[in-house]
Amino acid sequence: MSTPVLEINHLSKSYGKLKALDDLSLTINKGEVFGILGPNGSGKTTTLSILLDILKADTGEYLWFGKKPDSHARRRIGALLEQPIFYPYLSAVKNLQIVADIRGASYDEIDEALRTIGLIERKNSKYKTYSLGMKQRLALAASLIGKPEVLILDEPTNGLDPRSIAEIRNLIIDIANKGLTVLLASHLLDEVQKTCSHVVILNKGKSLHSGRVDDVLNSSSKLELKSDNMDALSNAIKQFDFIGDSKLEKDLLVLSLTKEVEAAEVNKILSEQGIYLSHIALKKRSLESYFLELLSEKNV
Amino acid sequence: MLGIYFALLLMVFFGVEKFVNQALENASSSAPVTMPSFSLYAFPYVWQNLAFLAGFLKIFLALIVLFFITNEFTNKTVRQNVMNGMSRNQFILSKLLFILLLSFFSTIILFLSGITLGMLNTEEVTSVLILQKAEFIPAYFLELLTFSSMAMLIGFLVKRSGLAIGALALYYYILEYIIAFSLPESAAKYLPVEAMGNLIDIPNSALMKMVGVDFRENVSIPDAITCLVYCCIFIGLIFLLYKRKDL
Repeated sequence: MSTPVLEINHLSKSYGKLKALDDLSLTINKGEVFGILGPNGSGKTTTLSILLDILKADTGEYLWFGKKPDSHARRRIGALLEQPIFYPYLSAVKNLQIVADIRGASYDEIDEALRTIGLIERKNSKYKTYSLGMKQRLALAASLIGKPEVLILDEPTNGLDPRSIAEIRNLIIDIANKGLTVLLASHLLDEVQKTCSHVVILNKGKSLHSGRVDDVLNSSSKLELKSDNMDALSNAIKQFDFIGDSKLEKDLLVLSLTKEVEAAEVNKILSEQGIYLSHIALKKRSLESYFLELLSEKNV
Repeated sequence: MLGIYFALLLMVFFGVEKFVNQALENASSSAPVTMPSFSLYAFPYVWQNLAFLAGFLKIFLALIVLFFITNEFTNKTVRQNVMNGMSRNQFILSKLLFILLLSFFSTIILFLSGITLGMLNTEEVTSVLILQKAEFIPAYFLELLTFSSMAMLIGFLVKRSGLAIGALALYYYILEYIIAFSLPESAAKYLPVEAMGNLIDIPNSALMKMVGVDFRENVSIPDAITCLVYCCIFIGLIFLLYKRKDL
């Protein structure tokens, strides 16, 4: 197997008494779109800032491209952290020239990048005259200068209108399809579910879960059953080996599943045993319900 | 802002003689002895006179340095630059280059003003005469560099422009005097502001010789070394600090 793009080993960081990041370990491979999910203040931005040398971790280490991180590694990473940051008194072009200079990229990329994000007409206006949406798009353009292999995005759709949000999501998916590795921090579950292949869920600086988004969604599906004869049904389901735990919610029997099943299959088996269902529904749990469940389990 | 500073420097250089002579004239009109009218601009004294005067303006230079550095922190552009692939050391070096250039151009202005004024106001110009006290030119450069690196350290420590200006003023005008007061004189002269001030002493004028005060007319090597050491300490501290500090 090739070297992972990013390896994080036991990273911790405190601000005074507050533990912002508590023993986080992660591995991210090439081509993954990795979501970092967590409520506000869960350590998402802290993690990304440490990975970009803005903050220094108290303990632990991280490796970019299998090596100790340095400024050269950062030139292979495009990043948009928290909010767009540019020199307010310089134009978009001048700001992007600074970025290109730092990254050793050609100025030819600048016009191309500005055209992609639709700011070419305003390229000589000062940055401070831009609207929030334009600033956010300029930041995205800046992160793509120098053709990075990895893209780090922290709440990239923050403060954008629905059309721009859709545009940016599509852009992220396009970028991922080109083989770039993407690290996306967000508190918008829907955003992560729609764009990411992998996810880590953070709370209070601790990793609660990490894995493939699909696995999270499948392993946490539920089956709802209803029959005229609920007692027979409760007994009958004991024969199935894919049921984690069952409970009665109003008049529905809700089963959490440990592996993927077909609703039709279950219906067939039960009807053969003389139990006829008046309701059967397979509910794929959304990332959102799983997320809320995880948070409540940990009593927070 | 830079333009204003350089214009101010030129104005002071070219305007001071008229001002001083005017003042002396006013004073001598009521004094029992007549004061001789003299030129501040004659070689070789022009170097010390101008360098000493320019020393008063170094606080403006420090303000420019402070703004230039705290700007990066208040706009958070330092974060963005590091994020984009600048190393922390490169960032500090870029600021160091800025203060070097700033000090250098100020010194060039001193040099050009001195040459112009000296040529116009010296009766018999010889190269020996011009160079006799030219050591004040590099001394001026060192004074500016030391003060700028002190401002740079404060800028990197405090990060916010208002607070940084306050901190610099507090140290420059008050704190160091308090520290100097509690130290023996032999030690106090090694404090940074003191050492910078000693580098270019008050020029002797005919007036001062009359009242019997005699200031140093050359640059003392120990003072120069003290200033150099402070430059290294200030800059070194920044590098050391930002190895571990959050941006």
